[in-house]
Parts: sequence; structure tokens; C-alpha cells
Amino acid sequence: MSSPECSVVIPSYNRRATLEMVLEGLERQTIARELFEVIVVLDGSTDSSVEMLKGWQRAGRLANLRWHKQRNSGQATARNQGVQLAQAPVIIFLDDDVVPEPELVAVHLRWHTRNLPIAVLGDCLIVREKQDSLYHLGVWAWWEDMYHNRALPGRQPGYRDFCTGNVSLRREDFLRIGGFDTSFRGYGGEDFEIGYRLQQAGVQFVSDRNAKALHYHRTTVKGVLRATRQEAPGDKLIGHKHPELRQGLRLMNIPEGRGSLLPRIGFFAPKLGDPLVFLLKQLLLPLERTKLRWLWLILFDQLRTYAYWRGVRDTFGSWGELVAYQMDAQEPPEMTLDISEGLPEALPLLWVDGPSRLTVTMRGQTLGTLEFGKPISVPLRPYLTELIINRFSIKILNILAEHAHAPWEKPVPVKDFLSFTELGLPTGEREKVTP
Amino acid sequence: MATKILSVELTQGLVDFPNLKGYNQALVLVRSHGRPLGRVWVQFENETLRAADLRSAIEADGELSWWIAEDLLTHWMMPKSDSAALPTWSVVVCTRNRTEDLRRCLDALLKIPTPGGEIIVVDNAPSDEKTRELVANYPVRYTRENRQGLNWARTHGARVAKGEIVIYTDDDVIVDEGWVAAILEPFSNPRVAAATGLVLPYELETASQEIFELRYGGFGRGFQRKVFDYTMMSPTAAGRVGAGANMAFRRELITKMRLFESELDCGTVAQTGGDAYACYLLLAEGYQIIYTPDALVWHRHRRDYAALKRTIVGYTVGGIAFLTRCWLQHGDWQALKTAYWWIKDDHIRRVNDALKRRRNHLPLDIALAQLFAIPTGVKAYFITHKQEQQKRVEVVAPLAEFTTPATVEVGGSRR
Repeated sequence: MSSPECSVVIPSYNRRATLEMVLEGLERQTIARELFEVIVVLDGSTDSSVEMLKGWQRAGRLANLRWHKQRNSGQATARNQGVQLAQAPVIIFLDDDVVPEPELVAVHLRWHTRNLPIAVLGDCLIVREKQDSLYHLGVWAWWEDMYHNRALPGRQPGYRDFCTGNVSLRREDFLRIGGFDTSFRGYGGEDFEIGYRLQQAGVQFVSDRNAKALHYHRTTVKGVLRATRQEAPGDKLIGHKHPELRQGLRLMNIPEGRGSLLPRIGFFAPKLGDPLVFLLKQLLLPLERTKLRWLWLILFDQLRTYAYWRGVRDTFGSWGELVAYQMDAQEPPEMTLDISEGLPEALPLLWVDGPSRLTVTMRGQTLGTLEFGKPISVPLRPYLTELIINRFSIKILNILAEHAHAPWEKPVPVKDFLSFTELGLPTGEREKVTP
Repeated sequence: MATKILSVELTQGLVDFPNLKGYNQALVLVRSHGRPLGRVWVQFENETLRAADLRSAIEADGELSWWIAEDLLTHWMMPKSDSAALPTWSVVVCTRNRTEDLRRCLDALLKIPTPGGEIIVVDNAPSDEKTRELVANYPVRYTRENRQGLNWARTHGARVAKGEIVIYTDDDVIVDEGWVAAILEPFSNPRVAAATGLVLPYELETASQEIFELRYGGFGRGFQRKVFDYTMMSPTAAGRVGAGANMAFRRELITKMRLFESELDCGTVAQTGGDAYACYLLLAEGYQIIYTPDALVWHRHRRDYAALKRTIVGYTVGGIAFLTRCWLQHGDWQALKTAYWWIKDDHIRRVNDALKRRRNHLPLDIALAQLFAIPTGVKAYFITHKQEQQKRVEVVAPLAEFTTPATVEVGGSRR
């Protein structure tokens, strides 16, 4: 028997039903079952997952199925354990509720045939139901937008696009950077963090919408608020491990101005906030019933922000501690972008997240500096294009006119277009473009 | 005097337009790299619009100048890469006893270079065979829907269509060559369920046409791309997303969600509102609708005054019927808010403007007719709702005469 080309690693905790669906999805793959192995790591499951897996193994439905049971110690540990057990050069991580479509393994493998240091990000599409609540609509829409934007041509996925539900990478890259950091105990954070380390180690991310899987887990409003409250420890840890990322973290800036009252209560007066939020939560349902969607959206957003800052309070304990943490941040690096040859040549330089200040130059002249306030986490091409045009149009047109070999020089001369621009250009308002 | 409609492509330079007999002003669409960027009004003498005059008119428009510069720089910085493969498409033209218009419409449709599509003419309850005879001369599909009503025709068109995207247009429309490619482009995002495009006047020959385009506002949705979804607007404001003469939908959603309620739009007491209701259903389900001015069609507005008045009144009746439906059938209380603003801004204000003879006001009789059409709209909802209830009873009743699947799916509550 030839050795498998890739290992599918699935950490699981008490989700026998969806786990079985994932295995069925793997059974339906277009490529031969001998070409991949499946490693399930049961993270202290107490349901009948073990019996189910034994049944699968006995029936031989998947050529290479193995499983490992460990004491409950978190997803990070489970995934690391899975990779230790894996034998193939390529690892595909799936979650225990992410059911792969038939081409998934083949699509991932195709990217890795040239054995380059890349990570392939696949979609975990939310399954819609007939009468989706406003909350589920929002979840669906959010993920759809995220997958779409991530895969836009010219868009380089950043570490914040790294989700572990459906992703593949080389085993050696994973081991080289030391795998997942097992000190992440709260909700989330470990995926961004490993994404960042992978990027620092020169692993490029690609997003392929053909590597498709369906996500069957349905969260609830209550569940997501609870999870949001547990996000702060992860954020704190990221900022601790990578001070250069600290500036971009959510907990660096407590909300100010409109809509900041509730999150501030969450941080400064949680004893007052908790019962208040409990009452506010009761409003969600009537708002949904009467289809007052905008009020529902505002309220839900407020509740989430409250939950986050409530979690920050849990993590930091006092304002002084938080401020000390905030003060300790490192200035993110400054970058220079030369657009002499247009943006396509310049943009790949921006693929690592980071700069909060971008100096734009062209043909030896400095056009100006874009201030983002915090690190650019989404180097989205159209967005940057728009921003640069908004800020520097006149200067660019002037430089182009001087050099006079712009592609659109003929048959209308550059100077003609220049006159269009100079007349009545609303400069004042356009300066205030914020990301 | 009449206004000449012209179009210039900046990358090909500005030239004189001679021999404009019988005109002394022109409405000029300004395009660059094929994209419509804006429009300018120019007065001229001696039947010739000179390039210099046109240039100064463009330069005088600060906003347009800005968009021109933006377009140029975008093209310089980001040469357009080959876009991803477009989905397959079906253009559906719903028509009824208007062969003269249809001929012009089909002539333009056949010039579309985009591959992977088909053109379908839906003949809606015709009184003669003229449409069938005309269509026989064209390489397009002909199909007939005998139940009268625009939404019946739309649904029928979607049923017979083969393309993934169904693009609707009317028979009094001339499409631009790049229309199909431009309206398909937003569908690369799976969350986009519908796209709409820019509708410009094909001609401004009569006073009525000018009233509709300039004073009523035409179908204008501006020259900027817009994204509509429930997080930024109330789905009940779906009337804003575009016009039925230039709209595209994912085919599977049209049938699955029964977007085109047969009790709305042309041929019913509600007169219009079918497209708005379809967009409402999509927006309420979290889908996005994109307005893209790059998808351009030219619409021939009604030439005579009586038809103009009927059209404008029809929009109010249909719009109010649609909003009442959202409120009473979907329990959507935001419909009341939308109705309040719509009536205040587009009805009461218009009567007020007409009384005070403000600039570009509507004729008083139209403004008043529009205001008085509001109760008619509410009534129209109750009439159509009653009809629908009856139809539901019929469907439950013996099925003998409902043999075709098309009929069995009729009516029924959407809730």
C-alpha cells in the first residue's frame, strides 16, 4: 500500500452526530480513499463517539482511519496531537462540524503538489434554514462576505483570515513554527496567533473557494455572547506574545462617544451592567417579531460590545492594569509604497499585516502619508486604490503629465484630463477618508 | 423644445455633433472606458454641438470631473484583469401587443457580445399573433403566458429560462452592448441575489417625457455603485434599489422563493410594485442587491400626458399596496416608517412644490393625483389579498383543471 499524501486531522469534543457526518463527507471524496488518512482526536469526549469510530474502523469505510483519545485539554492541544500522529507531508484541519464537499481533499492537494510553503484556506459555508432568525441571517451574511472578500482577486489573505475549520498546510511548516500555542484557554485567538506565526515564517496564504465544506454548527445569541466574553484572554495573550500586534487589538481602545455607555458600564460597573443587560436581552425577541431590524441590529451590537468589555474586565481586573498594558504597546512599523508602476507591482509588499502608516511615493517624489490609526489588517486592493486616488489624485496626475507617457495619453492629451480634475475638485471633503 | 440624447466616450476624444435639427439642447452621457460616469446638459446653436462647449460643460461639473479623474487613475493604477468566468444568463423580455417597441428592443439585444446566454420573449396574454410573427424573424426563444399580468410573465420566463441568472427588461427599452456583462458581474458574490442597473431616457421629445425624467426623477439611481442589504436599510425601502426595466435575479431563487407574486404589478389593481416586493423578500432573507450604473439601458418614456399621469399614479398605488402588504402580511412594522417618509417626501412635498411653483415642480394635477392615489393603494392591497385567498381555496379544491405544474403553484400564502 502506498503511503497517504495527506492527513485529515479532526479534533472533536462530544459531537458524535456531526462528527459522523464529517466522516461520511470524507467517504464521498472524489480522490481515492487510500490517498489520505483521517485522524480523529477525541478531546475528552464523553458521548458515544468512541463506539461510532470503532464501528467505522471495523467496517473499513475509510481506508486509513485512526483515532486518539486524550484528556480534555483544548483544541490547540488536540490539533498538535493529531499532527504528531500524522504521517503524510500535508495536513488538512477540519472541525468536527465541518462537512467536506466531495472535491475538498483533491482541491487542497492540488495546491500542495509543488511542495511550496503555503497554507490553503477553504470555506466553511453556513447551512441556511428555511426560517432563519435575524441572528442566523447575520451569521450567514458575515461568513459569506468574509469568504468572498478573502478570495477577491488581488487580495492577499492576512493572519486574521486564518480559520482552522478548513485549512491545509505542510506538516513541516507546522512543526517548524512549533504548532498551536496551547496556552490559549479562552475562546478563539489561537487560530489568528498561529496564522501570524506562519506568515512571519514565510508561509503564504491562499484562499480557494473550491475547497468547500458546510458548517453545521448553529450557535445561539446566548452562546455567542458567552463566547464573546471569553475573547479577551486570547487577545491579551496575542498582544503579550507579539507586542507589534498589540496596537491592532480591540482591547486597546475602550469605545468612546456614541454607543460607548454600555461597554463602559461593562468594564467599570459590571455589577450594575449584568442585570441591565439581562433586561435588554429580553427586547431582542419583540424587536425581531415586529421586524424592527435596525433596532435589533443596534441592540445586538451593543450587547456584543458589552460582552467583550465585560470579558476585558474579567481578564484585567482593573483600569490601571489595562492602561499599563495599553501603554506598553509598540509602534507598528511604517512602510513606503512606491506606485510608479501602478499598484499591482507595489501591493505584494503589503501582504504581511502591520503598517499603520503608509508613505506613498511615485517616481522619486513623496505624495504623502496615509495614517490608519491602527495596523492595516485588510490590504484590500480596491480599498487602497480608492484611498490613494482620493488623497493624491492631483499630484499623481501632475507627475503623469510631466512624464507624459500615461497609457491614456492619446487621443485625449493628459493636460485635458488634468483640467477636468483641477476644476471644482471637492478637495476638502475628500481628505477625511477613514478606513 | 426637445432635448437630444447623446453619448460620448472620453477615451475616444470629444468631437462636434453636427446636424442636430430641431434641437437646441442636449443631454450628454459621459462615459470613460465604457463606464457611464455622469451626464451633462448643454445648450447649443445652429444645430451643432461643438466639442469645446461640451468640454466646458463637463469641466463645469465638479463632481463629474472628479469621477473622470478617479476613473482614469483607477485604470492607470489597476488595469482591469480578466474577470472570472461569468455565469450563464437568460434575458427575459415581457411584452404585450407592442411589436414596434419590441422590434427595437430585440435589435439592440442581438448586439450583445457576451457569450453563454439566450434571449426569451414572453408574450403575455396577447390579443393577436403579431408578436409571435415578429419574433419568428429573430434568433430568440418565444413563449406565451396566457394569464395576464407582468408577474405571471416574469415567473413564466424564469421557468423556461436555462441561464443561472435571469435578466429582466421591458419591451420599451434599448440595451447597451455591455449591459449583460455589467449586470452579471456582481453575482460573483454568492450573497448577491439580484442586481439592478442604470435606466436613462432614450429620447426626450415631448413635454411629458421631460416631466417624467427631470421633474419626477425618472428611474435615475445615480452613477455610483450601491450595495443594498438589511444591515444598511430597511427591506421595506426596496423600491429604491432599482427599476423593473433593468434587473437580474438568480433563477433558482425566483422559483424557490416565489419572488414574483402574481397579485402584484402590471395587469392587476396594484399596477406596479412586483419588482419592489421581490427585492423585499430577498433583502429580508439577508441577500444583497447591487445597483451598478455600468449596466445601462435606455428607456422610452411615455410620450403623451395621460399615459404619464397613469404611470406616476401607478407607482404610488403599487408602492402603497406593497408597503401595506409588508405590514399586514409580514408583520413588518418598518413598512410604516418607510411609508411615512415616502408620503412626506415624495407626495406631500410635491404638492407643496407645485403650489409654490418651485423649480422643477410637477404639474399640480399630477402631484394631486399622486397624493390621492394613496388610499387607492391601500384598497388595492385588500382587493389583491382577497383574490389571493380565493385562489388558495381554488387550489385546494378539485385539481382536475390545474394540470400544469405552473398552475398548481399559484397563490397560496407566503407566510
